[in-house]
Amino acid sequence: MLAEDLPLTATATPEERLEQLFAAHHRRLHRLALRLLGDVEEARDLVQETFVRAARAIGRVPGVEPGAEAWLVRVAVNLCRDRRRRQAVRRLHAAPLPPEVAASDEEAPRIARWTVRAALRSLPPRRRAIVILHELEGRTTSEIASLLGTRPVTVRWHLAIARRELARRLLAGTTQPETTP
Amino acid sequence: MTQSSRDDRLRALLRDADPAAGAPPLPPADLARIRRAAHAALVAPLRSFGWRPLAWAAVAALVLLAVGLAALGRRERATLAPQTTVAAAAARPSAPVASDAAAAPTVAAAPVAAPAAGATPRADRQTSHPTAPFPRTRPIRHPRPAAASAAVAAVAAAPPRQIQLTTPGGTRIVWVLEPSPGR
Repeated sequence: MLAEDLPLTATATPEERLEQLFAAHHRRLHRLALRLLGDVEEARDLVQETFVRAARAIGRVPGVEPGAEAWLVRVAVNLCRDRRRRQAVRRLHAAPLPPEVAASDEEAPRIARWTVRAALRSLPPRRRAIVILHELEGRTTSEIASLLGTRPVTVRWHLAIARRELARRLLAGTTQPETTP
Repeated sequence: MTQSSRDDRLRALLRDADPAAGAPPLPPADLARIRRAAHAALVAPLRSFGWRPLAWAAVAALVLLAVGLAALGRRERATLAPQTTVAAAAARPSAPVASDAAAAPTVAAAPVAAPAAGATPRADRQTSHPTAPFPRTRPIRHPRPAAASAAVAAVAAAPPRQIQLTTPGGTRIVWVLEPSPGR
């Protein structure tokens, strides 16, 4: 039996509840954090901060699934948004990037992946989370809406905007202008 | 390129660049560190929960005590206010305000209490001396015009006098009045 399949018991002590949450969700949260941030260290910090928040508010974390998972995902996305704000302030004072260099054939796939990740990171955190949950984790719009506490139509709207933005960045020259869905 | 093919291509690009695709899980050391941090954050509020209600109760008791004392003081002041008196005492006991009151140890405040000549004390008033024309203390009143003119004339010939005021809080105020015929 996987740890993620363990049921959460509402009658457990706070320590037991936290341990159950950790066992059930740390892998999933780590994957989501990696996809959201694209960096191993930052992803680890995000997972830790998410569980610290859960520990501080253990009484407010829903005792049943998928409420607990949704709570954790929302906290992770909000923390990601806070990070993005801090990084935006840092970028204002950062030195400009060096000019691009021509990549060799061996480096081309790595640079392509880096470009895709950069394009994904350019999306707002909530929209980025929707793209990741839908395109990489294969969740439906209804599931994503339930996880993020929003409506399916809003999820679909975010998906459409994100796809258009990603296509503009990644598929430039191969796409045709299209109307708003 | 149609929209579906565009979405398929985007999906392929995203999956190819998925940072979590080949990433190893969190190492046990990191897991232990995250777990410790979370449990520390869980224990901290539990520990602080014990003293917080006591602290809040103590603060509430202090506030209630302060409010109660303030209300009590205000009530005492309100009951004392009508009894606020002007205690007037002559600087010297020989104020010749009236012929029969020459030996009175105290007299009333000058413009208010100086009696016309021949004034007699009322028997029902509590006085400091049997022959004193007025009691030691009395409420402040505005004088009548006729009495005031007589009082001013009497004060003009009188030696310096003192007016002693006592506030409900206990502060004593002493005014020394110098007679001035020009006023």
